[in-house]
Amino acid sequence: MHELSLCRGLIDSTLAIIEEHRVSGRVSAVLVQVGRFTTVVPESLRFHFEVLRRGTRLEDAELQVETVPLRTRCTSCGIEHEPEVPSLLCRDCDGLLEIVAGRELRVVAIDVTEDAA
Amino acid sequence: MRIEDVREILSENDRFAAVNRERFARWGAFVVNLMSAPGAGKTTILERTLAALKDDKRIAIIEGDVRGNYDLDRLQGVADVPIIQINTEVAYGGECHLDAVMIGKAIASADLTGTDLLFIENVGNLVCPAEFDVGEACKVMVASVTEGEDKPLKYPLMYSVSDALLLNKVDIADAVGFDRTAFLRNCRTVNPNLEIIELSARTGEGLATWLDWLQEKMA
Repeated sequence: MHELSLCRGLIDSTLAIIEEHRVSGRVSAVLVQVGRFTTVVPESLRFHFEVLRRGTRLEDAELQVETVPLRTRCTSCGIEHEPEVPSLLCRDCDGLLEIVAGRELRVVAIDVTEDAA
Repeated sequence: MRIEDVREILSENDRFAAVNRERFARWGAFVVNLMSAPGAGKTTILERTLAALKDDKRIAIIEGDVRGNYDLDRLQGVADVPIIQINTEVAYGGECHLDAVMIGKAIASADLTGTDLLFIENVGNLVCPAEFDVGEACKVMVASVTEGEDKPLKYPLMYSVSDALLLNKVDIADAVGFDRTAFLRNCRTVNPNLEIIELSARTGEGLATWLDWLQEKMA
């Protein structure tokens, strides 16, 4: 949920990358990771992105979303799982699981096309 | 050409949460983010908590609702403590949760130095509040027996981020056919570290355990 306000954060983060790397070309794509164990719906994020990118350096950019499955690791036995039901209880040894992937919400890269001479 | 650079999208929220946390620490306040589905009993539990602790502890409340002062009025009727109302409909388009930016703005001109215990009563919602760190010391959720035993599996994020769960309305558990064993098992599956306190805000049963838990955490 809240893909609208999250999208603003996404755009701000991306514009910061553009500024820091002194990007002069056209941004053709923004690559984000969205963990499955968040309340974010990628389709909704894309929808809001298409609206909010207008009038910014990201006007022509496509939003590419990589969804990251929930991955847990047992703090006792070390076994890693990608559980169907989000569970923090190790089914092998009853130990406590820690989440190693699946909670991401971040920009990871941008694709830039250099301006034609 | 691909430029790789990682930026967290929630970084603005988390920046504000860190600032809020610092502010709360300067005040000396232990902050509880209280969350639940609508009607589980957050406000009633707060009324009872306030009544029990008001003479020993300096308490303040940040009250989050989409609209209305209903909860503020109830709580103010129990004790003359500082209560800051956030109506998300006013400035945030009716947002269904509280986030660190909203809390930051609400406390910007407040001075709650010397507060022992600050409750943030979140908007009634089992989904979104779980996503947002607002600067709290701990997250406590309320679940009522009337909601059913499958809710931990249906709302795993909320259950997994909570430090404690108050299982409310135990006095009517039989009347609604609540399966306590299944509920506890489901909680344990989603969050083995979840501390569960069973109580009834209406009868007072179990309230002492909750108050003891708070005292222990505040120490």
